[in-house]
Amino acid sequence: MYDFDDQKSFYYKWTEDEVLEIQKLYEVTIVKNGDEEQLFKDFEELIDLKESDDINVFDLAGALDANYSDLLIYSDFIVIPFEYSDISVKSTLVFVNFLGLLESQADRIFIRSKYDKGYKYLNQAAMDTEIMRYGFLVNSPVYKRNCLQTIDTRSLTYEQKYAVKNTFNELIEYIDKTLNIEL
Amino acid sequence: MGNIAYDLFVKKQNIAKSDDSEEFSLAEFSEQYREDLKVIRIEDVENLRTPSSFSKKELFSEDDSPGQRYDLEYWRERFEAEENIDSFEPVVVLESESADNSDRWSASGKRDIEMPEDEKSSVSSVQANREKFRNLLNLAETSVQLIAHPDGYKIYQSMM
Repeated sequence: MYDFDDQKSFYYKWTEDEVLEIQKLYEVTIVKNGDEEQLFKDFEELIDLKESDDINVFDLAGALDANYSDLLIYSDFIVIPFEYSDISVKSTLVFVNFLGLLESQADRIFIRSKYDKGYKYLNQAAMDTEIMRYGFLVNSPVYKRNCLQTIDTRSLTYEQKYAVKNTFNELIEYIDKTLNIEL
Repeated sequence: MGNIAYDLFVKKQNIAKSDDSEEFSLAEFSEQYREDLKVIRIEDVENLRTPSSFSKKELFSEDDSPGQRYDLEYWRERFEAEENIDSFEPVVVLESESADNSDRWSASGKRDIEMPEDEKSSVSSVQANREKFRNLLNLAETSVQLIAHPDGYKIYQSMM
């Protein structure tokens, strides 16, 4: 797990969770951001990561940086959580455009995040068709729930599992299917 | 640079001497210096510039590479500025620009791989990369357009 975020929120969360009795599930590495240096020492390092059997997850910051470009191009999947608010929906399309300009090889997976069940998103139908032009839109949204406010990096409560179960199953199923086709 | 410095030097000499000439023309010594002045006046400077193939070559060889760079930078700035302003009819522009951009992007990628040894070039290529990155980002932004907003819910579409 690589944390790109300037605030390193994920990394700090992970270190905070050291006090928990549960074993850690994965390692978290901070990636320095805004340096003049390139993200990876060389291109081979990135390709080695790609070729390895490990699952490498990169948590990118909201703001795009030139450092990411190789990562965005050579990742297998890019999971893009989005909401139907003006800002989110627009920046999602900008990001997708940008991936296209980079000629990114990555499979784009879109997930509706913080979705409000009791809300009617009038732009949803049109935005969904637009978004589906660029990749796979996971059918089950991640609903806005109080229990998701208190996630830790070691385990999920029953409630939390339930909140993301369908979405994750779909996501994993899609990834499996795609990788099998590629093999 | 050598040429410019040379020109400046020659011009300064001229000015200085013509200044001198004005002073000396008031004085009686002017007659002695008139001959010198005639020799190095504007006509002669022009003669020095034009026929000497040596100076011409320097002018072209030196001006070519920085001139192109300036043009590119200028073009980029103008392109960004235009993109910020023009949100009306970007389609025609985008088609040509996006091809250019992607070409340049891939070229930069190759450059990075090819010469990581040259410190100067790697630093400049990082900067160039950032510029290209910003250009692409601008392009990605301007090609997303609002197509409808039922009751304030905005629907965007990518025009790429």
